[in-house]
Amino acid sequence: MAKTYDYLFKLLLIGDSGVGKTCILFRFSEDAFNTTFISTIGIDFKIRTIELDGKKIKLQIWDTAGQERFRTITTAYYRGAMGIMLVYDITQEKSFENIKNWIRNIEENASADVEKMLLGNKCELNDKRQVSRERGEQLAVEYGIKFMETSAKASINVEEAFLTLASDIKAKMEKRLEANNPPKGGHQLKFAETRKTETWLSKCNLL
Amino acid sequence: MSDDLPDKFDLIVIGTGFPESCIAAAASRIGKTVLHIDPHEYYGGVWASFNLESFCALLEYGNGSDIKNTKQKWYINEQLNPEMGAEVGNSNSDSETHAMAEDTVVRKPIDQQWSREKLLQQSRRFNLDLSPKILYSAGPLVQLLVSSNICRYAEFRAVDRVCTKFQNQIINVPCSRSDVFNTKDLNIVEKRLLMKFLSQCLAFGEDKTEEDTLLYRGKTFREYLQEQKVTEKIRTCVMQAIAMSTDETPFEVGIGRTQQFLGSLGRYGNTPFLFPMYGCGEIPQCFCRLCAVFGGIYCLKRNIDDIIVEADTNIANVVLEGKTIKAQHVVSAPCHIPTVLLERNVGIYGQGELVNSLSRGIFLSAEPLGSEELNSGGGGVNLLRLLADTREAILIQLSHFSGTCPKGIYLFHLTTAAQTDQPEQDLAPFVAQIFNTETDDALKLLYSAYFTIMGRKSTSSTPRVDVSTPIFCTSAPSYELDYDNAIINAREIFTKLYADAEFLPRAPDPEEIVIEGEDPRALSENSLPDDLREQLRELEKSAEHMDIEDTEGTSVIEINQVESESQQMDAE
Amino acid sequence: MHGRLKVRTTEEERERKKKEQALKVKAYRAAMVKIQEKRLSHELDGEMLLLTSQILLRNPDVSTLWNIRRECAEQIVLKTEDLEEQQAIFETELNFSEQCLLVNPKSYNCWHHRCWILEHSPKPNWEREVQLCTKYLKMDERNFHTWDYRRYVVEKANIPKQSELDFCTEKIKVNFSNYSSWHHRSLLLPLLYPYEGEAQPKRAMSEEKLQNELEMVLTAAFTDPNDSSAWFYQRWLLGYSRQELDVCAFRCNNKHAMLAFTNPLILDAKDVAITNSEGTVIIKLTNWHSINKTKADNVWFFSLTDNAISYKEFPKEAFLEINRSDISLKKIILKTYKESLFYFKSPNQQHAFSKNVLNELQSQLESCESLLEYEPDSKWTLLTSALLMHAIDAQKYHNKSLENLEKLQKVDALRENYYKDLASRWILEKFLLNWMDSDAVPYELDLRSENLNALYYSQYLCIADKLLLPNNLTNYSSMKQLQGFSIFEY
Repeated sequence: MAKTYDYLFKLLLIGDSGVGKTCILFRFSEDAFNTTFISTIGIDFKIRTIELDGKKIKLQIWDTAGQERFRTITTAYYRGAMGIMLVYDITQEKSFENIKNWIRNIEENASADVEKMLLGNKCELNDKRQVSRERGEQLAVEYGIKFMETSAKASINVEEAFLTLASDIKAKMEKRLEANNPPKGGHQLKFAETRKTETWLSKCNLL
Repeated sequence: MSDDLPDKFDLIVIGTGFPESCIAAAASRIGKTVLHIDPHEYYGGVWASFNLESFCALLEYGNGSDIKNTKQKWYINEQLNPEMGAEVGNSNSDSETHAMAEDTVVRKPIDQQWSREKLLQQSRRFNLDLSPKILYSAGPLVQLLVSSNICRYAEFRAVDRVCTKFQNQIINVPCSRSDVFNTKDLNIVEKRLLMKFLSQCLAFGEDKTEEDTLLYRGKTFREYLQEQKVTEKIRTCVMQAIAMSTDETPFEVGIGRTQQFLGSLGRYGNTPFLFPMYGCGEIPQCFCRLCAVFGGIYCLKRNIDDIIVEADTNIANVVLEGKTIKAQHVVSAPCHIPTVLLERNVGIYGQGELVNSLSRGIFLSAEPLGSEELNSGGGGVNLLRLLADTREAILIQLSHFSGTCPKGIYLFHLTTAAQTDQPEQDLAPFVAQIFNTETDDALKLLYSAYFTIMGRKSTSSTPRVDVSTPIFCTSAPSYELDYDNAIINAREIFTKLYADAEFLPRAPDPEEIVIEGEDPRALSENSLPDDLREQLRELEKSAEHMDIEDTEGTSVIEINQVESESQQMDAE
Repeated sequence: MHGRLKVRTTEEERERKKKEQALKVKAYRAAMVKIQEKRLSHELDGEMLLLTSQILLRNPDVSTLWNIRRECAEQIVLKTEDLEEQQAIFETELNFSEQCLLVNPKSYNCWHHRCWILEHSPKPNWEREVQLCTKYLKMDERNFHTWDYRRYVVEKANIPKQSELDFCTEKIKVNFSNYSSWHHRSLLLPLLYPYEGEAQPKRAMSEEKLQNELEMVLTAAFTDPNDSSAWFYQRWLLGYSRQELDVCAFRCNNKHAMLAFTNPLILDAKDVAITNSEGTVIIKLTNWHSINKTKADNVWFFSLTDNAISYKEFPKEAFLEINRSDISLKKIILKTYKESLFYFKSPNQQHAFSKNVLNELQSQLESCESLLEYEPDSKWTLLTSALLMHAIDAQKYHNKSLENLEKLQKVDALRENYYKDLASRWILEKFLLNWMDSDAVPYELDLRSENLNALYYSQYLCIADKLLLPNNLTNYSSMKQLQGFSIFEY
């Protein structure tokens, strides 16, 4: 089956429980907001294909599956990730403080050149704000990453955040491709890939 | 931390090794509430992989009861200075054999390019497996990963080369037809004979009453091979690497393995085998991820104090760092069963005596094993099965392409069934075959480590188990290439727990999942591609001055094209 | 239940798919109607590009829409003089067709569209196209669309032929069941390593390369004898190419002349003359007729009576002069038989292979023979060894190679007549070779005792006065052509 995209990017959402990672995911992938999700059962990842400079990019965005709760995110979750959205809740001081721990976690487990971005979510709840915009910016500068305040509920900056992250990854990737250094990769097993057993003797006969 | 964990679960799983994770995922998948605990702070138990630093620490201090008889040794200096003298790591095994080993190996020239410090700086690039495995591309684990959709959590590297020892040389076993075509090891007649022999094996046994099948029944595979018109070299390749047999392997088993080998060819790479990127420690984690996606709760670094079974209800009360949580069933890795239970003689399904299961060796070198041709392109994942008398061992060579070691380093895993509590001694005949210290061109080692993986085995002294016990014990890794026995073990326990339930049915893809309140038949506009959505809006606008139905007659062919096109999209 | 997973049933999924399909068809029709309207009113603009792209991205095989796009591109380009801007327009088209290739890498339309764009754009980047081919051949090394396109762009990009050959070799190493890449080789090798020896017909390539290729192809054939691509290439290597154009027979008596060639040609009035030993033209033979009454033919007829030429005018030592650039032999000495002149050269005479190639062929033959000990009924081995024997020394191995063909008629009964035909060909070759030096030439050709299933080389037979065929061939379809020669029959 022909693939219908030029690039596939694996992106991760990381941050404390309840900061709105799943809502951000749904806002971006379905353009929907649903407050009735209490947890993220069954939701593994979402896919959305975007277009950047004439290239089709398939974004595969992974959710933590609740494993952030006791900080038991598997190392496997980080494998092959090209971009990570670090999310905190501007109304929860603790979630902001924990960003440092999450970054340490990323440094230990993710690839060194993973593209990161910091998101302060729930920015529509300005009256309950505990983390100022400036502190968010400050932290982002400290780690040399980009920062945005978002609202999944009011649909503010979610689209922009993903497009920014994707285009940064694309730029990095194209630079690497130019240097003739294609990213290494393994096989992904697929349903469709179960070919017939006699292929090692594949035939094409005329006579 | 005393946290807000629920006080009741359908299943509590202790240990995050392969069979435990498999059971946890399967239970969660069918809607059971699962609490998955591991006393260690890492996933995987004896199935885990470690970075170099943690691995050295594990061997130095041990981890409890599942890894024993550890011993490690550096052949290079602490730092890159010309000062000679290798440092020796600690061990908790016999110091005499230790000293002897040192004597024999230290004479080798020390690689000036690497120091202990330099290797440890790249510690994170290592993923050192306690229980490395190789997967048949059509084997039980791959089948399970694909059918359950867990495959989306992992990536694999096709094993680059399957090797064998022939006349004291390591040669490449040609696997695929392009291998046979390209190899210089066989002349064209041998190529034809090998291909013909393999085709014949593939067709074998289709008809059980066939004359040929009956003819060799009860004979060994070796006898069968000897009667085939093949050369000695082909016979060695087939026996050692393709049919994975010994002189005693029965004919049917040998043919079966050959067929498994051939059936796994042509799927992913040049060989029939896969190795998980970043090591086998990823595999249990993939199952844990599925468990979590379906609501399983994860806690690492938690100790189980006790499990008390309520006599009337048969419910297990698991005491987790002081807090009691109820569970219908408990599944535990063999080494995490609290000793108090053993003292009280509590019945545990699958319980047995703690014995040596696998003797393991891990070696690091700055050069690969075998000829340049066997390691073209910087080497990859090479597999070599070794024989010594009636015993056998599996050697896996890994390069940085597998994501298990830094560039320029080659990692060797040697595994054999444990004979004694001295892994180094168990592995000595195999080590001698590959890292022959006598010859000048011997591989220069940077580091070596030996350890024993423990497991439980029921013996005559094991107490008889009450069939109604809610506590189940999984098996430790056994000597096998793939995960066949481990899957059988997980499946068996799952069936004991939930007799009629399906074991790991296919997990839905994200687009198949219905969001609450949505009509499952409804077609959400958002699921259509952007430009199609645009087109539909356009259509609605201009609907008044366009009689669309009338065009039907003129565009029949094109409609067919749309259909074939949308089938393409569906198949994606 | 809250938080519980709900998955669509297959029934629900089918219904949803059906709805989606209906919507797609509706959208598709609307777009098609709109496109037709716009085209009628010559609105070849950006909107038109957008509309066509929506359809082509889902089905790249609607040729009409590609034509419309080309019209659009031409129109839009006209609007600017700036080369950069023009280039940008074509670049967009190029990117678009690549998107469509992702959908169907075997779309004739997409590949063709790229050719058109590159031919029209001010600054075509041919190297990038070569890379694109490499990428697509990695996905499917047997995609002949890509191979075709590759030959086209490689030529434009001036890629060295050697690097193309190396690329091709790599692809064969990955998978040798690949007609396309064997074919690619067969085009490159003769250009890279032309044959400089003497043998006629010429070899396809230098002896050294030929030896390499033979070795490689036999390895492929032995690895998987059921794959026919290697066998086809091998037979091409062993000289089953067309014979070089040459005169094969001439006969002239007091009434007619007949002239036969190895391959059909259009014979021109100035092409043929009779000269004497000094090279002076004595008679020009201008008014030739095709024996089959076709424009090009391999047998031509000339009437002396109709052209008022008397046989007496012919010189004692007569030469046939051929003035054609495509035939290397210019002067042919004619022999005399009674009251007639003739010339005859039997077909497919021994190719003198160099020692190295002969050694290679000989060792291949030995490999085949040792394999036949294990597998006496192996079809491809039998055929290959027969072909090898024929190539090494057709005379010496004549009987042995025919034995192989006879065996093949049994083990591969489906193709019985194919082997019989091949045998007939070899039998006739040998017969004609012997006939050439016999007393019967050119008077009588007696094939009655030969075991023939088909009649090859019929043009060679034209000079015989008497042609006697085996019974089974008297109704043979090519007899019609032979009847033209009966003028010589007494």
